[in-house]
Amino acid sequence: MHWGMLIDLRKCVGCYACTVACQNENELPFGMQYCKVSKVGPIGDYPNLTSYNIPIGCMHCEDAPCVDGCPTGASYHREDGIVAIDPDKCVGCQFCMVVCPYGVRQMNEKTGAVEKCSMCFTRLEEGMVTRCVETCQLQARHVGDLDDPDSEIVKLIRKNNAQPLYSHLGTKPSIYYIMP
Amino acid sequence: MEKQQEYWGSQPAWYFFLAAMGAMMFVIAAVTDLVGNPIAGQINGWVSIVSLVAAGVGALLLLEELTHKTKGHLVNARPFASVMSFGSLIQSLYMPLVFIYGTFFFSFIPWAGLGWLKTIVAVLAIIAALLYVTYPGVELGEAKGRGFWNGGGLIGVFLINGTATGAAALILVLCIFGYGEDAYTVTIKNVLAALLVAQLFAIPGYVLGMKLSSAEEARRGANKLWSGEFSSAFWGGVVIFGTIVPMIVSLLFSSVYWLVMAAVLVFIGGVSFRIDFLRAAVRVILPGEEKDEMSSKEIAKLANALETRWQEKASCLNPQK
Repeated sequence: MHWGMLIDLRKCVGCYACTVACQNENELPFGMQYCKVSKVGPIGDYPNLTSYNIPIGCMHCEDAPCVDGCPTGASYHREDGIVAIDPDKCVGCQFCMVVCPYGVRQMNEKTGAVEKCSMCFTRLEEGMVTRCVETCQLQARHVGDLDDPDSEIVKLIRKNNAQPLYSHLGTKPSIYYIMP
Repeated sequence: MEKQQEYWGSQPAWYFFLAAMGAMMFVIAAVTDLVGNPIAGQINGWVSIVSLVAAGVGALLLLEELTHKTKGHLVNARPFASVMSFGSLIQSLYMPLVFIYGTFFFSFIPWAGLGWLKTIVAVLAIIAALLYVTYPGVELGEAKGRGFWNGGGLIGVFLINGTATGAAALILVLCIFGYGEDAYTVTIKNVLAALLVAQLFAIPGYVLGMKLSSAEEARRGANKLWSGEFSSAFWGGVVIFGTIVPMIVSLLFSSVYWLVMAAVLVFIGGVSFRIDFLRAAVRVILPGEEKDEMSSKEIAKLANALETRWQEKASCLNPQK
């Protein structure tokens, strides 16, 4: 079992519904976002211009620098592939924030612990999908088992040649993107 | 777009500087003792204490940086899995070893005469000190998205600078204890000059190497030092006043006054070097980050302004509350 996510950038319209739903789900303070949506472009040369939106959250890397670098074991890999944080073990050294190539980790000033997307593992354990997948009206997001070759997410990844972001960094992310 | 590495500020840089300075000063002094130079008997006890204090102050600076200071002991939790834990473990070995070594130089200590034991402790402490100086380079190299730290020469550059600052600190100790005119001080002064020559090539060479690197973020980081917003601190603080001027001073002059001035300049260069190398390592740009984003401070300021405005409106609409 290895949870992963597929985001179809052809469908994402940048409505920020996933960002807000995530903030509600995790009761985040103002200004904290586990799932940012960035606007890319316009890129290219006239008349061949394109513009798209890209949601970026924790990539739940298999070879996660944050997990390797965490001195206390607060950042850890669950058996289902999700990178999680144990807030009781986090001392706030921020090394994970320094080494994360995607810049998705944030310090919660109230708790003094580093936080990030947990891929709603409690919801997944209860048989539900993540809050962002549930919220996305355009069904641009899919969550599923990357280890199961017959799962919908794996079929979509193969069919659309979806790729993780910056795979050359060697962190083996579990979040795939269908590029526009 | 990230303007600089914004999570680790100057405190870790000071820690790296103090740890390297103290440890390399200790290594030079302990090697002096191992080769049988009699001056070691006069100064090594105090050198050990200064090294210990430097490591202790550095460790306190790091502890102060943690948001949960009372849980600081957890940093030792994964000594063979995380580089930071390994560094913490090495520090935990290095400091007691240096302390024990220092006690051999005070005659009122019962074991002060046990030379064979002192030699064993010195060798162990030297190994711990060298690991203590080099681990930050390995630690920073773990940041895969910050190409500026991924150069193979980073450990070497840290080691050269650490040794130079250690030699400068040893010169200061020698001057304080009245050995400013001693032949040994002249030797250390020459060692310092040689190290500064090496540093003059190593540090700008590393930055130039990163400037020519294939990784875009490494080039961006190097450009910040080479010609960007940190260039005056880099060229002025690290290269000119931290390396070239003390190098010339240590080559041309021998008086205590000039030696002390050169040592202080090397310290300034060492601190500037650590701060510059920490802040210049910007992260790989993600799609959409090319556009300037609001920083967390700017967001917090805006949030406060909005909250204040909402409160004003609320009190205007509901004056009873």
